[in-house]
Amino acid sequence: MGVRQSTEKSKQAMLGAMDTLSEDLLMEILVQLHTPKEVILCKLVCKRWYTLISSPCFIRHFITYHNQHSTVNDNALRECEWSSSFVFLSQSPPYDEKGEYIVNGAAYRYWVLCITEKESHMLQIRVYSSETKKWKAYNSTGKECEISSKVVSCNGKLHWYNGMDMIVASDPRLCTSTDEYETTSPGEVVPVPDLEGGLLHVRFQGRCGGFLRLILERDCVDQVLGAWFVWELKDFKTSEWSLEHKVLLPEPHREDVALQSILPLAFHPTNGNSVYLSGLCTVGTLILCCNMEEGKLEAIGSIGVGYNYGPDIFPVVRRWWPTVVSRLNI
Amino acid sequence: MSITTENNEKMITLMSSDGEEFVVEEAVAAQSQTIKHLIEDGCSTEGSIPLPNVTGRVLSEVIQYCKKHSSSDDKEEKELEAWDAEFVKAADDHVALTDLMMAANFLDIKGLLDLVAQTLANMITGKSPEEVRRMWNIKNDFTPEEAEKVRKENQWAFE
Repeated sequence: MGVRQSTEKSKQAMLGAMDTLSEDLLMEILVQLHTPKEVILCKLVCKRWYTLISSPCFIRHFITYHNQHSTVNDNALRECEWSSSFVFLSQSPPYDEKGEYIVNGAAYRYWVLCITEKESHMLQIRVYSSETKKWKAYNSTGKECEISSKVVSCNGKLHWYNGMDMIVASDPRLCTSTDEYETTSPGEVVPVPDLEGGLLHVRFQGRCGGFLRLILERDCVDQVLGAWFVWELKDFKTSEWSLEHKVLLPEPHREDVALQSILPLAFHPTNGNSVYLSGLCTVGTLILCCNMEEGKLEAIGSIGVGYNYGPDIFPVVRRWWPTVVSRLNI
Repeated sequence: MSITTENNEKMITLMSSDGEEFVVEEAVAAQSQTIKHLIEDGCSTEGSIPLPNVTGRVLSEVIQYCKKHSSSDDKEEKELEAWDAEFVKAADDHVALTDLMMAANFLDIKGLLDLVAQTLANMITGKSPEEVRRMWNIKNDFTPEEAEKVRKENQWAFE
Protein backbone atom coordinates (compact mmCIF):
# COMPACT_ATOMS: atom_id res chain seq x y z
CA MET A 1 0.00 0.00 0.00
CA GLY A 2 2.72 2.38 1.05
CA VAL A 3 4.73 1.57 -2.01
CA ARG A 4 1.77 2.22 -4.27
CA GLN A 5 1.21 5.60 -2.67
CA SER A 6 4.74 6.71 -3.19
CA THR A 7 4.61 5.58 -6.80
CA GLU A 8 1.49 7.68 -7.31
CA LYS A 9 3.15 10.62 -5.67
CA SER A 10 6.34 10.45 -7.69
CA LYS A 11 4.22 9.96 -10.79
CA GLN A 12 2.54 13.27 -10.12
CA ALA A 13 5.91 14.95 -9.78
CA MET A 14 7.08 13.41 -13.02
CA LEU A 15 4.18 14.72 -15.00
CA GLY A 16 4.88 18.27 -14.00
CA ALA A 17 8.22 17.92 -15.72
CA MET A 18 6.95 19.06 -19.11
CA ASP A 19 7.95 22.59 -18.19
CA THR A 20 11.55 21.50 -17.71
CA LEU A 21 11.91 20.44 -21.33
CA SER A 22 13.79 22.81 -23.56
CA GLU A 23 12.10 24.41 -26.56
CA ASP A 24 13.91 21.99 -28.87
CA LEU A 25 12.67 18.94 -27.06
CA LEU A 26 9.12 20.20 -26.77
CA MET A 27 9.29 20.76 -30.51
CA GLU A 28 10.49 17.17 -31.02
CA ILE A 29 7.36 15.97 -29.28
CA LEU A 30 4.87 18.28 -30.97
CA VAL A 31 6.12 17.65 -34.52
CA GLN A 32 5.22 14.01 -34.01
CA LEU A 33 1.55 14.79 -33.58
CA HIS A 34 -0.32 13.25 -36.48
CA THR A 35 -2.38 16.08 -37.91
CA PRO A 36 -2.17 19.87 -38.03
CA LYS A 37 -5.52 19.93 -36.28
CA GLU A 38 -4.04 18.22 -33.25
CA VAL A 39 -1.19 20.70 -33.26
CA ILE A 40 -3.46 23.71 -33.57
CA LEU A 41 -5.51 22.47 -30.63
CA CYS A 42 -2.30 22.44 -28.60
CA LYS A 43 -1.90 26.16 -29.19
CA LEU A 44 -4.50 26.61 -26.48
CA VAL A 45 -2.55 24.73 -23.83
CA CYS A 46 -0.44 27.67 -22.72
CA LYS A 47 1.41 30.68 -24.17
CA ARG A 48 4.69 28.83 -24.39
CA TRP A 49 3.15 26.16 -26.58
CA TYR A 50 1.27 28.79 -28.56
CA THR A 51 4.43 30.72 -29.38
CA LEU A 52 6.33 27.59 -30.29
CA ILE A 53 3.63 26.19 -32.56
CA SER A 54 3.12 29.57 -34.25
CA SER A 55 6.78 29.95 -35.15
CA PRO A 56 7.80 29.44 -38.80
CA CYS A 57 10.60 27.22 -37.57
CA PHE A 58 8.11 24.80 -36.02
CA ILE A 59 5.89 24.77 -39.09
CA ARG A 60 8.87 24.02 -41.34
CA HIS A 61 10.04 21.28 -39.03
CA PHE A 62 6.55 19.78 -38.82
CA ILE A 63 6.13 19.69 -42.58
CA THR A 64 9.59 18.26 -43.20
CA TYR A 65 9.05 15.60 -40.56
CA HIS A 66 5.72 14.53 -41.99
CA ASN A 67 6.93 14.57 -45.56
CA GLN A 68 9.65 12.15 -44.53
CA HIS A 69 7.40 9.88 -42.52
CA SER A 70 4.19 9.69 -44.46
CA THR A 71 2.63 7.54 -47.10
CA VAL A 72 2.64 8.74 -50.68
CA ASN A 73 -1.04 9.60 -50.86
CA ASP A 74 -1.07 11.90 -47.91
CA ASN A 75 2.11 13.44 -49.07
CA ALA A 76 0.59 14.43 -52.37
CA LEU A 77 -2.17 16.33 -50.68
CA ARG A 78 0.24 18.15 -48.47
CA GLU A 79 2.43 19.26 -51.33
CA CYS A 80 -0.62 20.58 -53.09
CA GLU A 81 -1.75 22.64 -50.20
CA TRP A 82 1.67 23.95 -49.50
CA SER A 83 2.38 25.25 -52.93
CA SER A 84 -1.03 26.35 -54.04
CA SER A 85 -1.68 29.79 -52.74
CA PHE A 86 -3.53 31.16 -55.74
CA VAL A 87 -7.19 30.87 -56.45
CA PHE A 88 -8.25 31.48 -60.01
CA LEU A 89 -11.46 33.09 -61.04
CA SER A 90 -12.78 32.30 -64.45
CA GLN A 91 -15.29 35.10 -64.33
CA SER A 92 -14.92 38.70 -63.36
CA PRO A 93 -14.62 39.20 -59.65
CA PRO A 94 -16.95 41.48 -57.74
CA TYR A 95 -14.37 44.11 -58.38
CA ASP A 96 -16.06 47.08 -56.80
CA GLU A 97 -16.97 45.21 -53.71
CA LYS A 98 -15.42 46.77 -50.65
CA GLY A 99 -15.90 43.81 -48.39
CA GLU A 100 -13.59 40.95 -47.65
CA TYR A 101 -13.24 38.29 -50.28
CA ILE A 102 -13.58 34.96 -48.58
CA VAL A 103 -12.60 31.77 -50.28
CA ASN A 104 -14.10 28.68 -48.78
CA GLY A 105 -14.11 30.19 -45.30
CA ALA A 106 -10.35 29.75 -45.27
CA ALA A 107 -8.38 31.34 -42.49
CA TYR A 108 -5.05 31.37 -44.20
CA ARG A 109 -3.24 33.59 -46.64
CA TYR A 110 -4.26 33.41 -50.24
CA TRP A 111 -4.53 35.41 -53.45
CA VAL A 112 -7.41 35.52 -55.81
CA LEU A 113 -6.48 36.20 -59.41
CA CYS A 114 -8.38 37.23 -62.40
CA ILE A 115 -6.48 37.44 -65.68
CA THR A 116 -8.24 38.78 -68.73
CA GLU A 117 -6.93 39.51 -72.20
CA LYS A 118 -7.99 43.07 -72.92
CA GLU A 119 -6.71 43.09 -76.45
CA SER A 120 -3.99 41.36 -78.40
CA HIS A 121 -0.72 41.33 -76.41
CA MET A 122 -2.31 43.06 -73.47
CA LEU A 123 -3.35 41.46 -70.22
CA GLN A 124 -5.15 42.86 -67.28
CA ILE A 125 -4.15 41.11 -64.11
CA ARG A 126 -6.21 41.64 -61.00
CA VAL A 127 -5.04 40.33 -57.68
CA TYR A 128 -6.89 40.12 -54.40
CA SER A 129 -4.81 39.61 -51.31
CA SER A 130 -6.33 38.16 -48.16
CA GLU A 131 -3.87 40.17 -46.11
CA THR A 132 -4.67 43.64 -47.44
CA LYS A 133 -8.26 42.62 -48.27
CA LYS A 134 -7.94 44.69 -51.43
CA TRP A 135 -7.96 44.18 -55.16
CA LYS A 136 -5.09 45.51 -57.19
CA ALA A 137 -5.04 45.71 -60.96
CA TYR A 138 -2.38 46.29 -63.54
CA ASN A 139 -1.92 45.96 -67.24
CA SER A 140 0.83 44.09 -68.96
CA THR A 141 1.83 44.36 -72.57
CA GLY A 142 4.36 42.69 -74.80
CA LYS A 143 4.75 39.45 -76.66
CA GLU A 144 4.75 37.65 -73.33
CA CYS A 145 1.16 38.65 -72.97
CA GLU A 146 -0.45 35.98 -75.04
CA ILE A 147 -1.80 33.11 -73.04
CA SER A 148 -1.94 29.94 -75.10
CA SER A 149 -2.13 27.37 -72.34
CA LYS A 150 -3.36 26.72 -68.89
CA VAL A 151 -1.99 29.15 -66.34
CA VAL A 152 -0.09 27.08 -63.80
CA SER A 153 0.90 28.19 -60.34
CA CYS A 154 4.30 26.82 -59.37
CA ASN A 155 6.73 27.96 -56.67
CA GLY A 156 4.67 31.05 -55.97
CA LYS A 157 4.59 32.20 -59.58
CA LEU A 158 2.16 31.90 -62.42
CA HIS A 159 3.35 30.28 -65.61
CA TRP A 160 1.91 30.27 -69.09
CA TYR A 161 2.95 29.58 -72.64
CA ASN A 162 2.88 32.53 -74.99
CA GLY A 163 2.02 30.50 -78.07
CA MET A 164 5.41 31.01 -79.66
CA ASP A 165 8.62 30.10 -77.98
CA MET A 166 8.55 30.99 -74.35
CA ILE A 167 7.17 30.21 -70.94
CA VAL A 168 6.38 33.32 -68.94
CA ALA A 169 6.72 33.38 -65.16
CA SER A 170 4.89 36.12 -63.39
CA ASP A 171 4.45 36.96 -59.74
CA PRO A 172 1.48 39.33 -59.59
CA ARG A 173 2.09 39.95 -55.91
CA LEU A 174 5.32 41.75 -56.72
CA CYS A 175 3.50 44.55 -58.48
CA THR A 176 4.07 47.40 -56.08
CA SER A 177 2.69 50.05 -58.35
CA THR A 178 0.26 52.37 -56.67
CA ASP A 179 -1.05 53.53 -59.98
CA GLU A 180 -3.80 51.07 -60.74
CA TYR A 181 -3.34 51.01 -64.46
CA GLU A 182 0.37 51.38 -64.85
CA THR A 183 1.64 49.09 -67.54
CA THR A 184 4.39 46.67 -66.68
CA SER A 185 5.96 43.58 -68.07
CA PRO A 186 4.39 40.46 -66.59
CA GLY A 187 7.62 38.86 -65.52
CA GLU A 188 10.51 36.70 -66.59
CA VAL A 189 10.63 34.34 -69.52
CA VAL A 190 12.31 31.06 -70.29
CA PRO A 191 12.53 29.54 -73.79
CA VAL A 192 10.64 26.29 -74.33
CA PRO A 193 12.58 23.17 -75.39
CA ASP A 194 13.34 22.76 -79.09
CA LEU A 195 10.13 22.41 -81.09
CA GLU A 196 12.02 20.79 -83.98
CA GLY A 197 10.98 23.34 -86.51
CA GLY A 198 7.31 23.11 -85.71
CA LEU A 199 7.06 19.31 -85.67
CA LEU A 200 6.29 19.49 -81.99
CA HIS A 201 3.82 21.72 -80.29
CA VAL A 202 3.17 22.62 -76.71
CA ARG A 203 0.24 20.54 -75.62
CA PHE A 204 -0.08 21.05 -71.94
CA GLN A 205 1.63 22.39 -68.91
CA GLY A 206 1.31 21.44 -65.32
CA ARG A 207 3.26 20.88 -62.16
CA CYS A 208 4.83 17.94 -60.42
CA GLY A 209 6.79 17.94 -57.18
CA GLY A 210 7.44 21.68 -57.31
CA PHE A 211 8.64 21.68 -60.94
CA LEU A 212 6.92 23.02 -63.97
CA ARG A 213 6.23 20.38 -66.60
CA LEU A 214 5.47 20.65 -70.25
CA ILE A 215 4.10 18.13 -72.71
CA LEU A 216 5.31 18.55 -76.28
CA GLU A 217 3.24 16.57 -78.73
CA ARG A 218 4.35 15.04 -81.97
CA ASP A 219 1.52 14.26 -84.34
CA CYS A 220 1.04 10.87 -85.86
CA VAL A 221 2.24 11.09 -89.46
CA ASP A 222 3.39 8.51 -92.01
CA GLN A 223 3.53 5.47 -89.78
CA VAL A 224 5.33 7.37 -87.06
CA LEU A 225 3.36 7.10 -83.88
CA GLY A 226 2.24 10.23 -82.15
CA ALA A 227 4.11 10.87 -78.95
CA TRP A 228 4.25 13.06 -75.91
CA PHE A 229 7.55 14.35 -74.64
CA VAL A 230 7.35 15.33 -71.03
CA TRP A 231 9.87 18.00 -70.12
CA GLU A 232 10.57 19.35 -66.68
CA LEU A 233 11.99 22.79 -66.00
CA LYS A 234 14.82 22.05 -63.57
CA ASP A 235 16.14 25.56 -63.25
CA PHE A 236 14.36 28.66 -64.42
CA LYS A 237 17.41 30.91 -64.26
CA THR A 238 19.55 28.74 -66.54
CA SER A 239 16.60 27.54 -68.68
CA GLU A 240 17.53 23.97 -67.89
CA TRP A 241 14.92 21.53 -69.14
CA SER A 242 15.16 17.81 -68.70
CA LEU A 243 13.32 15.22 -70.75
CA GLU A 244 11.55 13.02 -68.21
CA HIS A 245 9.38 10.77 -70.33
CA LYS A 246 8.50 9.83 -73.85
CA VAL A 247 5.03 8.39 -74.20
CA LEU A 248 3.88 6.76 -77.44
CA LEU A 249 0.26 7.41 -78.16
CA PRO A 250 -1.98 4.61 -79.34
CA GLU A 251 -2.66 4.61 -83.07
CA PRO A 252 -5.94 6.42 -83.58
CA HIS A 253 -7.48 3.89 -85.95
CA ARG A 254 -6.47 0.62 -84.40
CA GLU A 255 -9.58 -1.44 -83.83
CA ASP A 256 -8.80 -2.63 -80.34
CA VAL A 257 -8.32 0.88 -79.12
CA ALA A 258 -11.66 2.30 -78.22
CA LEU A 259 -10.23 5.64 -77.26
CA GLN A 260 -10.75 8.28 -79.86
CA SER A 261 -8.78 11.08 -78.36
CA ILE A 262 -6.71 11.64 -75.29
CA LEU A 263 -6.18 14.90 -73.45
CA PRO A 264 -3.80 15.50 -70.57
CA LEU A 265 -5.56 16.81 -67.47
CA ALA A 266 -3.00 17.03 -64.71
CA PHE A 267 0.26 15.63 -63.50
CA HIS A 268 0.33 13.75 -60.26
CA PRO A 269 1.47 16.30 -57.66
CA THR A 270 4.40 14.19 -56.43
CA ASN A 271 4.68 11.00 -58.43
CA GLY A 272 6.67 11.98 -61.50
CA ASN A 273 5.59 8.88 -63.40
CA SER A 274 1.87 9.56 -63.37
CA VAL A 275 -0.26 11.81 -65.48
CA TYR A 276 -4.05 12.00 -65.48
CA LEU A 277 -5.84 12.04 -68.80
CA SER A 278 -9.29 12.22 -70.20
CA GLY A 279 -10.10 9.87 -73.03
CA LEU A 280 -13.08 10.12 -75.30
CA CYS A 281 -14.60 6.78 -76.21
CA THR A 282 -17.94 5.34 -77.22
CA VAL A 283 -19.29 5.17 -73.68
CA GLY A 284 -18.40 8.74 -72.85
CA THR A 285 -15.36 10.34 -71.33
CA LEU A 286 -13.04 8.25 -69.22
CA ILE A 287 -10.63 9.59 -66.65
CA LEU A 288 -7.40 7.70 -66.98
CA CYS A 289 -4.21 7.44 -65.03
CA CYS A 290 -1.15 6.82 -67.14
CA ASN A 291 2.02 5.36 -65.72
CA MET A 292 4.55 6.89 -68.10
CA GLU A 293 7.41 4.72 -66.90
CA GLU A 294 5.65 1.45 -67.64
CA GLY A 295 3.43 2.79 -70.41
CA LYS A 296 0.33 1.53 -68.64
CA LEU A 297 -3.06 3.16 -68.85
CA GLU A 298 -5.71 2.61 -66.21
CA ALA A 299 -9.27 3.89 -66.15
CA ILE A 300 -10.05 5.44 -62.78
CA GLY A 301 -13.41 6.98 -63.51
CA SER A 302 -15.85 8.02 -66.18
CA ILE A 303 -18.01 10.99 -66.92
CA GLY A 304 -20.63 9.28 -69.07
CA VAL A 305 -22.24 10.17 -72.37
CA GLY A 306 -23.72 13.57 -72.94
CA TYR A 307 -20.86 15.67 -71.70
CA ASN A 308 -19.24 16.69 -74.87
CA TYR A 309 -16.77 19.06 -73.40
CA GLY A 310 -13.65 17.78 -71.80
CA PRO A 311 -13.60 18.04 -68.04
CA ASP A 312 -11.58 20.71 -66.35
CA ILE A 313 -9.40 19.77 -63.43
CA PHE A 314 -9.40 21.77 -60.25
CA PRO A 315 -6.91 20.97 -57.60
CA VAL A 316 -8.98 20.31 -54.52
CA VAL A 317 -6.78 20.52 -51.51
CA ARG A 318 -7.21 19.54 -47.96
CA ARG A 319 -6.35 22.15 -45.39
CA TRP A 320 -2.97 21.10 -44.28
CA TRP A 321 -1.16 23.88 -42.55
CA PRO A 322 -3.02 27.15 -42.33
CA THR A 323 -1.20 30.44 -42.43
CA VAL A 324 -2.83 32.67 -39.93
CA VAL A 325 -3.99 35.93 -41.43
CA SER A 326 -4.05 38.11 -38.37
CA ARG A 327 -1.57 37.53 -35.62
CA LEU A 328 -2.26 37.65 -31.96
CA ASN A 329 0.19 39.73 -29.98
CA ILE A 330 0.83 38.22 -26.62
CA MET B 1 23.10 -8.52 -11.12
CA SER B 2 26.56 -8.90 -12.48
CA ILE B 3 27.74 -8.17 -15.94
CA THR B 4 29.71 -10.85 -17.69
CA THR B 5 32.20 -10.15 -20.37
CA GLU B 6 31.55 -12.32 -23.35
CA ASN B 7 34.05 -12.08 -26.20
CA ASN B 8 36.42 -10.17 -23.94
CA GLU B 9 34.53 -6.97 -24.65
CA LYS B 10 36.08 -3.82 -23.26
CA MET B 11 34.12 -2.48 -20.31
CA ILE B 12 33.28 1.12 -19.56
CA THR B 13 32.15 2.58 -16.26
CA LEU B 14 29.49 5.27 -16.31
CA MET B 15 28.72 7.36 -13.27
CA SER B 16 25.31 8.97 -12.80
CA SER B 17 24.71 12.40 -11.24
CA ASP B 18 23.84 10.71 -7.91
CA GLY B 19 27.07 8.74 -7.87
CA GLU B 20 25.77 5.38 -9.01
CA GLU B 21 28.22 3.40 -11.14
CA PHE B 22 27.26 1.26 -14.11
CA VAL B 23 29.73 -1.05 -15.84
CA VAL B 24 28.77 -1.73 -19.44
CA GLU B 25 30.33 -3.08 -22.57
CA GLU B 26 31.85 -0.44 -24.78
CA ALA B 27 29.55 -1.36 -27.67
CA VAL B 28 26.53 -0.73 -25.43
CA ALA B 29 27.80 2.61 -24.18
CA ALA B 30 28.73 3.64 -27.71
CA GLN B 31 25.04 3.62 -28.67
CA SER B 32 25.27 7.08 -27.18
CA GLN B 33 27.05 9.36 -29.61
CA THR B 34 28.10 11.57 -26.71
CA ILE B 35 29.81 8.70 -24.89
CA LYS B 36 31.23 7.35 -28.13
CA HIS B 37 32.98 10.66 -28.71
CA LEU B 38 34.21 10.74 -25.12
CA ILE B 39 35.66 7.25 -25.57
CA GLU B 40 37.29 8.26 -28.83
CA ASP B 41 38.82 11.24 -27.09
CA GLY B 42 40.28 8.90 -24.51
CA CYS B 43 38.13 9.99 -21.58
CA SER B 44 37.35 6.42 -20.53
CA THR B 45 40.88 5.27 -19.85
CA GLU B 46 41.07 6.64 -16.35
CA GLY B 47 38.21 5.73 -14.03
CA SER B 48 34.57 6.26 -14.91
CA ILE B 49 32.80 8.63 -17.27
CA PRO B 50 30.75 11.09 -15.22
CA LEU B 51 27.28 11.94 -16.57
CA PRO B 52 26.26 14.93 -14.44
CA ASN B 53 22.87 15.36 -16.13
CA VAL B 54 21.54 11.85 -15.71
CA THR B 55 20.32 10.23 -12.51
CA GLY B 56 20.96 6.56 -11.76
CA ARG B 57 17.30 5.62 -12.22
CA VAL B 58 17.17 7.18 -15.65
CA LEU B 59 20.59 5.87 -16.64
CA SER B 60 19.55 2.32 -15.79
CA GLU B 61 16.63 2.63 -18.23
CA VAL B 62 18.89 4.13 -20.88
CA ILE B 63 21.36 1.28 -20.51
CA GLN B 64 18.57 -1.28 -20.89
CA TYR B 65 17.65 0.36 -24.18
CA CYS B 66 21.25 0.54 -25.39
CA LYS B 67 21.91 -3.11 -24.52
CA LYS B 68 18.94 -4.27 -26.54
CA HIS B 69 19.81 -2.08 -29.48
CA SER B 70 23.50 -2.96 -29.56
CA SER B 71 22.73 -6.69 -29.60
CA SER B 72 20.00 -6.63 -32.25
CA ASP B 73 20.64 -6.29 -35.93
CA ASP B 74 18.40 -4.72 -38.54
CA LYS B 75 16.77 -8.00 -39.50
CA GLU B 76 14.90 -8.07 -36.23
CA GLU B 77 13.23 -4.74 -36.84
CA LYS B 78 9.70 -5.95 -36.13
CA GLU B 79 10.71 -7.65 -32.93
CA LEU B 80 12.70 -4.60 -31.89
CA GLU B 81 9.73 -2.33 -32.43
CA ALA B 82 7.61 -4.49 -30.16
CA TRP B 83 10.38 -4.50 -27.59
CA ASP B 84 10.62 -0.69 -27.77
CA ALA B 85 6.89 -0.33 -27.15
CA GLU B 86 7.09 -2.59 -24.08
CA PHE B 87 10.23 -0.87 -22.87
CA VAL B 88 8.82 2.63 -22.97
CA LYS B 89 5.62 1.48 -21.29
CA ALA B 90 7.62 -0.03 -18.44
CA ALA B 91 9.96 2.96 -18.26
CA ASP B 92 6.94 5.22 -17.83
CA ASP B 93 6.28 3.49 -14.50
CA HIS B 94 9.80 4.02 -13.17
CA VAL B 95 10.97 7.40 -14.41
CA ALA B 96 9.51 10.54 -15.91
CA LEU B 97 9.48 10.20 -19.66
CA THR B 98 10.57 13.82 -19.92
CA ASP B 99 13.70 12.96 -17.89
CA LEU B 100 14.32 9.99 -20.13
CA MET B 101 13.95 12.28 -23.12
CA MET B 102 16.40 14.83 -21.74
CA ALA B 103 18.88 12.02 -21.05
CA ALA B 104 18.46 10.65 -24.57
CA ASN B 105 19.07 14.13 -25.89
CA PHE B 106 22.13 14.74 -23.72
CA LEU B 107 23.56 11.34 -24.52
CA ASP B 108 22.63 11.76 -28.16
CA ILE B 109 20.75 8.49 -28.70
CA LYS B 110 18.55 9.31 -31.66
CA GLY B 111 16.40 6.18 -31.56
CA LEU B 112 15.54 6.59 -27.90
CA LEU B 113 14.83 10.29 -28.32
CA ASP B 114 12.37 9.59 -31.14
CA LEU B 115 10.78 6.74 -29.25
CA VAL B 116 10.08 8.85 -26.17
CA ALA B 117 8.96 11.87 -28.19
CA GLN B 118 6.53 9.69 -30.10
CA THR B 119 5.20 8.23 -26.88
CA LEU B 120 4.65 11.67 -25.39
CA ALA B 121 3.01 12.87 -28.61
CA ASN B 122 0.68 9.87 -28.51
CA MET B 123 -0.32 10.87 -25.00
CA ILE B 124 -1.46 14.25 -26.36
CA THR B 125 -3.45 12.79 -29.23
CA GLY B 126 -7.18 12.87 -28.70
CA LYS B 127 -7.01 15.08 -25.63
CA SER B 128 -8.48 18.55 -25.25
CA PRO B 129 -6.13 21.41 -24.29
CA GLU B 130 -7.61 21.24 -20.81
CA GLU B 131 -6.86 17.52 -20.51
CA VAL B 132 -3.30 18.07 -21.75
CA ARG B 133 -2.78 20.74 -19.11
CA ARG B 134 -4.11 18.47 -16.40
CA MET B 135 -1.98 15.54 -17.54
CA TRP B 136 1.26 17.52 -17.28
CA ASN B 137 0.29 20.02 -14.69
CA ILE B 138 0.70 22.95 -17.08
CA LYS B 139 -0.66 26.30 -15.99
CA ASN B 140 -3.18 27.93 -18.30
CA ASP B 141 -1.77 31.45 -18.69
CA PHE B 142 -4.30 32.67 -21.25
CA THR B 143 -6.95 35.16 -20.23
CA PRO B 144 -10.41 34.14 -21.48
CA GLU B 145 -10.20 36.89 -24.12
CA GLU B 146 -6.82 35.68 -25.39
CA ALA B 147 -8.04 32.10 -25.50
CA GLU B 148 -11.03 33.24 -27.52
CA LYS B 149 -8.75 35.03 -29.94
CA VAL B 150 -6.60 31.93 -30.45
CA ARG B 151 -9.75 29.92 -31.00
CA LYS B 152 -10.99 32.43 -33.54
CA GLU B 153 -7.85 32.64 -35.61
CA ASN B 154 -7.77 28.87 -35.86
CA GLN B 155 -11.49 28.39 -36.15
CA TRP B 156 -11.42 25.35 -38.38
CA ALA B 157 -9.40 23.26 -35.96
CA PHE B 158 -11.93 23.77 -33.21
CA GLU B 159 -15.02 22.98 -35.28
